[in-house]
Amino acid sequence: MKLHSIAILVAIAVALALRLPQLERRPMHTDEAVHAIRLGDMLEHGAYSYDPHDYHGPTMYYATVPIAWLRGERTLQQLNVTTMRIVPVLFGIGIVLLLFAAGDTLGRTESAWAALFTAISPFLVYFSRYYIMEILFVFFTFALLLSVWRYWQTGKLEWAAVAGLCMGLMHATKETCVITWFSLAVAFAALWFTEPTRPKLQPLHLLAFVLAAVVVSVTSFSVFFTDWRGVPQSVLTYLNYAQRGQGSGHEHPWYYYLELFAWHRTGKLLWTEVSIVVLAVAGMIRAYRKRITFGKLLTVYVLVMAVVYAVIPYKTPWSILSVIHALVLLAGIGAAGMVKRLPWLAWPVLALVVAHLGAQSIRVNSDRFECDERNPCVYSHTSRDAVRLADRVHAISAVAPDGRAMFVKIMAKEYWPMPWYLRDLPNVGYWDKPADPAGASVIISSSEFDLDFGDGWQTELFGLRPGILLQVHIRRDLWQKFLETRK
Amino acid sequence: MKNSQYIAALFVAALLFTNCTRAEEKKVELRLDPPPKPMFVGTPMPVKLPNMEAPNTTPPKIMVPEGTMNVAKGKKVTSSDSAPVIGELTMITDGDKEASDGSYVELGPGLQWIQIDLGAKHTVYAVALWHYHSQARAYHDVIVQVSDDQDFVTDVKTIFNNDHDNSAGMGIGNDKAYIEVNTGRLINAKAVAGRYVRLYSKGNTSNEMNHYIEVEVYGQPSK
Repeated sequence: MKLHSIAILVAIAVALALRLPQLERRPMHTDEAVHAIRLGDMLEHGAYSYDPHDYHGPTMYYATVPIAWLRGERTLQQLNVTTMRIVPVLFGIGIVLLLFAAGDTLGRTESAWAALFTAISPFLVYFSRYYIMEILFVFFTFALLLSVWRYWQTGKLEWAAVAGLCMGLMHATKETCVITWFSLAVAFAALWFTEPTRPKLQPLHLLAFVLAAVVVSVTSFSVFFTDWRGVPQSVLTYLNYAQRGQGSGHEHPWYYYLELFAWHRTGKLLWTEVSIVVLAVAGMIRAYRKRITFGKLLTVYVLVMAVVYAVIPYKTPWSILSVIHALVLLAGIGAAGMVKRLPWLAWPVLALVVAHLGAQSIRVNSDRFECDERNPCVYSHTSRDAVRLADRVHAISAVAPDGRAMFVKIMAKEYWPMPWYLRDLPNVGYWDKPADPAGASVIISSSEFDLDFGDGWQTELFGLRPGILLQVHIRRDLWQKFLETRK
Repeated sequence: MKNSQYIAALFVAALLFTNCTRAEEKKVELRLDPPPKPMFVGTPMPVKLPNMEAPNTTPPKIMVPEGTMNVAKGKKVTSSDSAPVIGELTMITDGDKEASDGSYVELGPGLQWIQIDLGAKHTVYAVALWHYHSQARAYHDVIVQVSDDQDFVTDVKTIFNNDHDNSAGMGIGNDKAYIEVNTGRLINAKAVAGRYVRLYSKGNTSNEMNHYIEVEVYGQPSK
């Protein structure tokens, strides 16, 4: 076995070791919980309806259903957190695996380093354990990049078709695909006008490319040709997203991602992947000096994409993963260049970089920081207190005469991910304002309402997310019974 | 005769009607309308609140002898977490009540305590504490004790306890949970005597960590 392959296998082992442990431990983020409930609907009723306003395309659900079936989970109630989070883990490993195919594109040493950086990048590790679409999107993007590049090199029909397939999967995963396509188009156009050799585009190949993309997208959005409403909506959605890009409450300054990724200091805690940025810049310089065409392509692609994401006011930490992945690939080129040019300096420096990134990956995914708002990957995350709240409701149902059939009334504008955590209780109602308490055994209300139901109730405070508090009112007789169990 | 027949017929009809009504009154299980379902939402926005205004509840008025002062300022602080990740234990008695980075100490997750050695036995009239007030949050299982025993085994007087489910294992407390504010929490110590003041907490509504910005102990040396 060649050294390149061994290095990537080691990277895969490291990637698995960082991504797999205790997937169920971190509380469910609101976005994860919403996806989980929608997935439950697909599992139970085979139903999926594309919402052009939010929640993205269906590929993640399609990828999860077979895993749920394999694990014997057929209903929302049976659904397990690990079952869902294993999907981004597999695609996160897939991103490393694709570097096997990038040996003659990126360079063998370069792709080995890129594999290692992909395996240990704190952002890539963190979101490979997160049940949202981003890592799947990065996987399909990388597959598109490699297949288009293959077509550029070989001019073969099959690579045009594979590229179309990847493009369709990107569209069926997340609406931000248009930003990636635009960045890729600019990068390939730059190569087209500057490189001495270019492929001869054939109409049949273009047709295969477009056809593959359309077939995959239509198949996905029509839920395998059973519901056609999602197909036109998957295009019309961009009218909504143009407006949503203005911020929708997630407005951040242009340097938000830079600060988050490169130098994020909170108190005495410092989080940084600046080493990836420095190595990526070294990779860009090397790509132009040594005429590494794929490196030049990556350089233009990542710079255009970074500018677009910086300009768009709407920003969340996971939106930038495609940029980070491209930087990691360029860092592979930079690291390989260092090793060739200054081996005596490169090895100890790169060993330090790997150790630092690995240690940070462990820290961002640690029990202590995985949902701590000071962690740069954490954004509006559910507090562990919310899980305690759900445990409390279950403990009360265990002593309630009607058990799990007891009535729980939730009166709050902000209550996600409680529908996920209380999914086994059939009588949970949700109001966005104070409602009649009659019939309820437990009432969960927003602390803003400051409800007081009198001496017949025990009130506790729990956190939903940082800054969002919920009051939990428990009927006094049930509270007394519960206290008996604590003696 | 005719009248009596009519009366008999009416009686039978009334009886039948009553029986029918009784049959209609057969009881069935009361079923409430299905509760409203949850609405799907988008990514929640991060909440950034400035220092919260004090809630409607006013701090207790505590009458203390003249000459009572903060006897904790600059005094030695020890803790169940001797090596905090953020901040130093000395910050707890340094007089700085700001909530910004550099003004608070963060202790590890779970049940943790800090202890102030007043240097000598004091009569304690009040304790004021600030956990963290740059965000709306409440700390769990806040317990404040005063003792002459530095190990808090004997002669322990509890002056505040809002652990209402005994999750800290030191008994059920009846004091209310509260949301942290920049004015801190003032606790009436009711003139208990002791050299050491110990404060417990078990995480908060935002995370599992325990924080302290400042603790003040108002008292006078015991005579």
